[in-house]
Amino acid sequence: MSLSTLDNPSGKPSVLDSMTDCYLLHSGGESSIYKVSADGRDCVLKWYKPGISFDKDVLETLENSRISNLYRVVEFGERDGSAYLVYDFVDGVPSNNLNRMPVPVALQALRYVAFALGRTSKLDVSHGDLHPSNVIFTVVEKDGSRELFPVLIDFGIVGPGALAYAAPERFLGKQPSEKSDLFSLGLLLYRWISGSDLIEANGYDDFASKVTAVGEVNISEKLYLGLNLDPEFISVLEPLWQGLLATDPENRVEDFDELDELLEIAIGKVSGGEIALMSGIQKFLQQEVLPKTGTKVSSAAKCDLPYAVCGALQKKRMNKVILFVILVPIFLLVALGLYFGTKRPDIDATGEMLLKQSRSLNVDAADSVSEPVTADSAQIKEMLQNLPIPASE
Amino acid sequence: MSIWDRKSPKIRNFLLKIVAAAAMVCFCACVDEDVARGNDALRIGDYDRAIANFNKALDQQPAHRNARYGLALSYYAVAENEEKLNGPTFKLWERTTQEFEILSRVDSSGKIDANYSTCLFYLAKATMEQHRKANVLPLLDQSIQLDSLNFFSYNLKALILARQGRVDEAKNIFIYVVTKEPKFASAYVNLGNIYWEEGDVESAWDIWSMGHEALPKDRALAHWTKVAEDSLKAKILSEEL
Repeated sequence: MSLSTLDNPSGKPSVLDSMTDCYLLHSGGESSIYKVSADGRDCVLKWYKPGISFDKDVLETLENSRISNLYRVVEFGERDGSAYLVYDFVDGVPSNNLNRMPVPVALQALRYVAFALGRTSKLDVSHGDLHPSNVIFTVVEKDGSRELFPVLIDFGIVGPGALAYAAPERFLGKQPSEKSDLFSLGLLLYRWISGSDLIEANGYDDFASKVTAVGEVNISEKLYLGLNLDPEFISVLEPLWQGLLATDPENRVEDFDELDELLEIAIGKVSGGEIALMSGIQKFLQQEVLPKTGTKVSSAAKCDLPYAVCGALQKKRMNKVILFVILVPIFLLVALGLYFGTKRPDIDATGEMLLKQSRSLNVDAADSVSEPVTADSAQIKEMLQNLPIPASE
Repeated sequence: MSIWDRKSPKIRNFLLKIVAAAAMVCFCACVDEDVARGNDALRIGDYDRAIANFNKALDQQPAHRNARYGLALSYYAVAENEEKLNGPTFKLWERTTQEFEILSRVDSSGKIDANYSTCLFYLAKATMEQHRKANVLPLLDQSIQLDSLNFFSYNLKALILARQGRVDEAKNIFIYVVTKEPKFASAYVNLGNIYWEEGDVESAWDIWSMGHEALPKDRALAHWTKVAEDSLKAKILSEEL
């Protein structure tokens, strides 16, 4: 399916035509992000700058799948020369807005993300742009308690993605892959634990150079000296850095299943047991996530939709036509009802009324019984007196 | 030269037409309003006011069908009211008939025929009350012609025929009436009377009992059925003796 045919390819109404209450959340170099209402639910509209697009095959695959810890794509396509993507609004905190996390929490969060990526990987879909903003930390209620539920957004990027989190091979123009996503996850984990990016550079080439040399960085030392992290945690994390942040993709872990195993082992070592892990997560949610969660959109951010609203106008016009078609007959019926209900009877109706009164036969008992009027009695007066008349009643 | 004179003839004619049309609309509206008022009065029994309003409308438009019909109905209602009070009605029915006659010249729709027919019946009856030997058969025939379901006119015609000795014609009319309108008690009574007079007690009983069956509450039919029954029983007993 080409992008040009994505705009309402089946002729069914686009969700764009039912959007209202548009708020600008973020405007970047490639796209603008809006929070909108569509068909009574909150959605996010990602509106790409002209000439910038996404991998439609990836989004098409995701649109038709339901994977836990993944955002839900509602619609994507092209309108007014710009590509757009609509997905369900995720009410949470982007992880870049969170302070550094306890190691067990970061490992558990990464496990969720790795699980979602493992599922998409089986659909031949790689993310390609993993960075802290694309992981939203949400809180879900489950069995009466609150649980951490990271949601991964923004698949289908074309290009290397966020440079600070891109794998070395992505700088060489390679397409996103399971291996490149694994590398990005390593950098993401470092960010969550340390609160800062492992690779800091200026410009594309600098990033390319530094990411290629990431193997030479002693991460454990950085964590120990910079953050005074518990040496036991540092040693537990060491296999993860080796398995994820290898420059050569071949030297990274095989896949997300292997990563899951490594994470399970690491969590087992650092959490101090399941109850301690749950307690740690609860504390983190309470202190970090929940206070920052909630739809906080300034009314000043309210704006017009970024596309021509002809479709919406057509719908409004159609609604008016429908309203007109419904109301006019009702109005006519009421008018007719009032006309005939209050209409004065005409003279013909009066004539019929008088005739009915005259002609009604009195079938009840006669008041008296007279002598029979005989043909030759010549009792005309009596005959006429006994003669039934129309108004005899 | 006035402004009016300076206007072009086309414009002047156009304006005149508009004024004339407006005047006509007002005029028609006034007449219709009189008729409507007359009708309202007639429906509630205020006959004098009804007649006054219909006359007012007719002064404006003598051929106004509804005003004419309203006036005829008003006279009709006055006469029929007097009829119920057993007062003298000939003049009233004569006036009403005249009005219906005029009305029939402006309305050939047939909508007035039933009332006109009843009016003629009343006139025939009132005429006979005034002049016992008056020939009212033409009035009754006209009444029946206007409304073939006016059984009151049939009934009176049959009685007159019977009085004139045209018994078979009378019988046929009565039979026609009871066939068409089985609730018309007088026709049973009168037909039974003819048989009774002829000495045909059995036929008289047949008719009266038939009428009694159709109208069990009618005291005349109950009475004459009983009389015929008693007569038949007496006859059988006397034959046996």
